[in-house]
Amino acid sequence: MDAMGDDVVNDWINQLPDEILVDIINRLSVVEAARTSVLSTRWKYLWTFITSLDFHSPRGMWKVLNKLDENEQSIKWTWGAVYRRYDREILVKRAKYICWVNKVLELHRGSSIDELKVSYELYDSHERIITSWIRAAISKGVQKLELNLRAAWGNRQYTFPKELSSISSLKSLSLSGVNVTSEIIESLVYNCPLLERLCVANSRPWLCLKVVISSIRLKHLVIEGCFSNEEFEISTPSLLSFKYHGTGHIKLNVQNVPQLVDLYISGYNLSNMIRPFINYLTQLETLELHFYLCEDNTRSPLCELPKLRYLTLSVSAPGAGNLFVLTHMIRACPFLLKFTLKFQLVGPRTERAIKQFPKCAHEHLKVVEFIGFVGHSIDLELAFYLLKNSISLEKMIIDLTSPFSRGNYWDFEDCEEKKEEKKAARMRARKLKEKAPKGVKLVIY
Amino acid sequence: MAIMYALKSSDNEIFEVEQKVIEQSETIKKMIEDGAATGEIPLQVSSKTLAKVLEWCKQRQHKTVENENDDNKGKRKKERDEDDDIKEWENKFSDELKADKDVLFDLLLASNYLDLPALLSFLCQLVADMVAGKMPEEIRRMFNIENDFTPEEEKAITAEHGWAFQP
Repeated sequence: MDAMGDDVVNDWINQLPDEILVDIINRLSVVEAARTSVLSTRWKYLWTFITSLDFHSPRGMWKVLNKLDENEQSIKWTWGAVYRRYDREILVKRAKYICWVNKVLELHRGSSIDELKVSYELYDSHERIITSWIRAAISKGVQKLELNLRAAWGNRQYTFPKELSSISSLKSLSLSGVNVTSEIIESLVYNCPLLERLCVANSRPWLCLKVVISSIRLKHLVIEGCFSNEEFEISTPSLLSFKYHGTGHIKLNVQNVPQLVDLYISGYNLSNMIRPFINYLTQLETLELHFYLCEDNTRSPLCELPKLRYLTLSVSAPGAGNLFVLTHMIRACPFLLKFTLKFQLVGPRTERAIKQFPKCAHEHLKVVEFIGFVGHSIDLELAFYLLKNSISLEKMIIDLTSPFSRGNYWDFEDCEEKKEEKKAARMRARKLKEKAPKGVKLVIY
Repeated sequence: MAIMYALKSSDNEIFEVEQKVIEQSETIKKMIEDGAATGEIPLQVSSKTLAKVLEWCKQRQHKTVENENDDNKGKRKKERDEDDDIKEWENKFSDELKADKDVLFDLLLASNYLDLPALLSFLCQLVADMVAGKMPEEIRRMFNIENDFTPEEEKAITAEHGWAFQP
């Protein structure tokens, strides 16, 4: 296959038309795409026609901080010392990042940019530059725009420019770590005629009391981590999915969402958070609830959810807790196909005898998934229960990776302690094999 | 009774195919709609490649039907547990193509000519996965790309996009 000995050289890839080559290059990271410029004269400018520009920084700022922590044991470990070093590193890296984005946008020759993603610690003082990037993308018909800016402590967030709130080509907008006022959000929703997906996360100074989201096009809405008692009034007949992730310190006023089928809700007080959706629960097909296991959150069982097919419960609980209460929720969904438990153990590991839960047939449940399985009594007994009572069960998936650390800054999955824990959990997961009825496939990741 | 069509490859081999399977190709669908598809449909595709195209279309047929149903209900996230079989099939299909690049690139051209967007996208992703993480010299070797830059030109490009060439 190699060049060696191949006298008749098949110049396969050169037979392909430019648009296919660009399609291939478009699937690479921007860095790898640019690297193809050196392959041959034909490839020199092909990469400048890519339509997806994802300026994802491979090494996030938190990793820089972690690295300092490891390498410089000699530094007296005070926050001040770390931050000073961190500041210096960050300045150099940030300058490089900005140059990089500028350069690629300047070299870009294609007539369209479908997707622009900026992911870096940038803030208010970079306003001019960030806005110029957005303008460049708008001028080439951007459909998907994502700003993930994460301003560090004490820095003011970049404010999304009001004059750019009417983008005719925009279908999906995600703003994280960006300051948006209610006026801007309302204007974006109203003035972007194709906008189907909107995500607003970690916006700090809202300085507003009420945001009205009223649209006949918006299909997906995500609100994350905003917490200063904002009030959201949602009246969106086209809405299919809604996600709120945060502490629950917001007020939701929901009406006219007849198409809503996919809901994600979190908060300290679960029933408070569900209440605004009470009229729409029976139409849901997918539901994810994220909460801390305590009596308040599980006292009132859900009403019957006849259309629900996929239920995910994201639960943090102490080892001494009892997940049996969750079976009420499963029972409330008579036609459930898949149940997923995302589990996070809090506090010390408490071992106790395994409890037997009362029998109850879950007739349609085909797939059960445990993410963050630890294999202590608390989750093992629920797994046993589901194996016994799900009479149509085909598959049980046991995933040992913690659900909440995956892919974020606090991803310590590779550290030795975690590896040992996982090994032990894997051993315990094998116990399920003995209890699994014939015909149930058990997969351990 | 399913309606059958006869496809003729560039090396004169005949393939009998159900209409439902072959209609995934926009090019052929259009020929059928225009009434141009009577008797054998001659295609500028070798029999070896056409066999692969049909293998894909037959596998894909079921998938499309399922996906369409899902679309009507809204959206459905890809469930890793439910797609196991399809993934396994796709992996095997990919491995065969990776081992025989003649067929891979013939198939790319064919999917473009027959207007099979799903296959085209699948193959582009396959080639992209092969390229990802490799340095230029390796990519050239893998696909027999002749480096027609002078050493000076090459140096200049590498210098200009310095950020792209750091490991």
